[in-house]
Amino acid sequence: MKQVISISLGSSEKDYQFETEFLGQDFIIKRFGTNGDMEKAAELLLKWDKVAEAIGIGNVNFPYGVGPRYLTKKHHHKLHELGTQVQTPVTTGSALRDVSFEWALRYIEYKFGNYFDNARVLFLSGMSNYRIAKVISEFTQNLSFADPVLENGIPKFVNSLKDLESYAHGAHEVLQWVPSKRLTTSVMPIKAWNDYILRKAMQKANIIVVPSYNFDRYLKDAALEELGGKTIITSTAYDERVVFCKERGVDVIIDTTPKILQRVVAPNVLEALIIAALGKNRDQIHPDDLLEIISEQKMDPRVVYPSGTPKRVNRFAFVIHPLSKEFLKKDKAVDMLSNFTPPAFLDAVEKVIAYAPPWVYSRVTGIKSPTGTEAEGWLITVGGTPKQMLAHSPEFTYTRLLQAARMAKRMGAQIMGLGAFTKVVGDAGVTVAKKADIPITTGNSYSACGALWAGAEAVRRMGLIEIKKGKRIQGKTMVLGATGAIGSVCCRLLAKAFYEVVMGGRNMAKLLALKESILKEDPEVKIKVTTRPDKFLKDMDVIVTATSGAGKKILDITKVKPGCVITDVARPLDLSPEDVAKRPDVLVIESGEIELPGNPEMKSIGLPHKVAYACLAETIVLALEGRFEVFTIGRDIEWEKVKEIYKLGLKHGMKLAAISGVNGVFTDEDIASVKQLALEARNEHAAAT
Amino acid sequence: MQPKENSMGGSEGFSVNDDCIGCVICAEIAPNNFRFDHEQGCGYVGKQPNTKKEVCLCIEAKDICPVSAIEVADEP
Repeated sequence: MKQVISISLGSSEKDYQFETEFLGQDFIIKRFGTNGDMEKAAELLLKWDKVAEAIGIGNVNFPYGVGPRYLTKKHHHKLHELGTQVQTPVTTGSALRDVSFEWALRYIEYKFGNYFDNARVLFLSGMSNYRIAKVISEFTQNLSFADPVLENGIPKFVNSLKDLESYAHGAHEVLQWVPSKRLTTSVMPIKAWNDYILRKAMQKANIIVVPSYNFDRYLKDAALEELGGKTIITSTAYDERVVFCKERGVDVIIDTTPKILQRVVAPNVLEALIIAALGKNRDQIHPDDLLEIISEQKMDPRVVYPSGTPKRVNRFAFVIHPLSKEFLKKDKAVDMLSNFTPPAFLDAVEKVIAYAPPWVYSRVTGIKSPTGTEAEGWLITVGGTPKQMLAHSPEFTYTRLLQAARMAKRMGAQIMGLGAFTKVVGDAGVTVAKKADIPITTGNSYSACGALWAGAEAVRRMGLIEIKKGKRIQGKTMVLGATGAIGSVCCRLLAKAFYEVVMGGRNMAKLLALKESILKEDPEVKIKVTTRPDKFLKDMDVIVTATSGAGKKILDITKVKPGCVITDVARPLDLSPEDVAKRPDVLVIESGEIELPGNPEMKSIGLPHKVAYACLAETIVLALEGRFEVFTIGRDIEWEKVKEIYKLGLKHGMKLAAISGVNGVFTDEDIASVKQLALEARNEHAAAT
Repeated sequence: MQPKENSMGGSEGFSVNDDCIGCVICAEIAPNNFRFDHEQGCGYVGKQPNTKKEVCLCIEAKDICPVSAIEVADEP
């Protein structure tokens, strides 16, 4: 039986000895901790020389991955010199560690899909984990390195790989001579300040890369606030480290060292085992040999979920805007001033605020899919009201949306949705999606889906139209804004269910083209097109308004049939509360709202708790699914995508929220009352004629 | 809602970008100009400096910011 010995500068309390089989050979592996005693380590090295097949030296500070050549090799040379005095191959495991770092990260990115995209990653030692930083920089630019803080006691983080390289090649080297290093790590106020900013940086990060060597020292003061919900990348996550992380709420530990033996061992042990198994000297083993063994032995990185259940948190951003100048009164100062200033004051505020750069309105947390995946994000607001956006060129809004996209990316969002009027302006997201660095979606696919979902539910609950399973509904329906993105999909959906569909719009040629296209799919449906929809209003059982009128009067509600269900898909709404109040015998639903899974927390967006606009819900569904791609943009939405997002929504626990009107949620009593008034009005009308 | 001069290139003078970790040192150094948003956990420019002393303090805050999150678009 071959012997592999690990001499560790770490604690002797963690010593072990066990037998194992590797590459068809039997091994006995023994660990000896020296509690930091170099003399003892040297003695052990000489003792096991020519006795063991290979010796690993553990718990040493690995050579830096970046920096001046002499510095990167400094520690390595000392050990190498020691190693040349003995005949048994000696290794620190640095070669395996380097190979396994890169392999582990690429494996995780491949297996979990977009795992590191735009994540905020804090490296406690960028110089030690330079290889990890190089790989991660392919997926995110949100990198932060604590080397100056932890190595030199300087309260400044390095914020890019390029700066880390400069620091490693120049500053770090010089700072080694500066006596203040010793001072700054011992002088209480500076040390306390460094500890404080390190904790703050940890709180801000999504992923923290912790070198195995200094794991306990760097994290000793970290608590739930710093580590809760985080992903930790390290090598050699011993059981006690997993317990430490569990107590501090860490979601995921990515251990770059594979666990191929019955217990977790350090890279030096694995590399010594490989050397012993191959019967070669350390210098004869090429990284390719290690990669081949990793691949053949299926030495995948270890993904540990300290809580016991798999966790994944994806991030999104969503752009909103004030719906009107009244909305600006939510700011107390504006509200107070508007009370005793002329109306022109609020107009001026509306104009000025349109020029403001985007800002974060609210953090969104607590969204949890039944699949276990979680989503968190930010609602970013631009300053322009719909009126202001229409008053400026589309480029005015594009500029602010691109600013919002840059902001979202820096905060770690992996996809950004365009809310309300921001997706109506110009080419409906095409330019923004082309120029932004993160995927963009308008949410229109789910908006269409949610509107019809709500409309169908409202018609069922009203019970004024007979619905027979497998047959077309013997009712008449109209879509206003039929040629628009959502309107055209509504027409297609209603044409599948209703006997007659009237399509209202401004462009007759577009209407006729849409009619032809729908008749090809559903030749049985009766379709009428009109640019003057008012004359059809009195006969319609269901009306969907999906225009981008931004406050213009779209339909005369007084002419609508009693008991009609109007689904207002437009944002801002096509029907004002005053209009709705004129017809208590008509059910006007705002449609499209979706109940989010889990226990979402965010500032009010004017909807009940847990409820979100469908366009926001689409962004969240895509985040939960990990589909970080441009999903819906432009004025035409694809039927296939509407179906897909509907199915994905159901998979992630999205539900139709209670049907809401301009005055809030409709109860069963509200709907019964509308129905009663409608029946009375119909009877009166019948009696009169 | 309070818009903050908190992002890239939106306005002249100083701004705080999204790298801010909310250490509050800027608001300690230049309390007239930098504020702290407790909800978002980050600093923002409440008022652009308009005196030489305020400008000096803002520059000091910029230099001392541990994550270099304070940007200056045009020297005020």
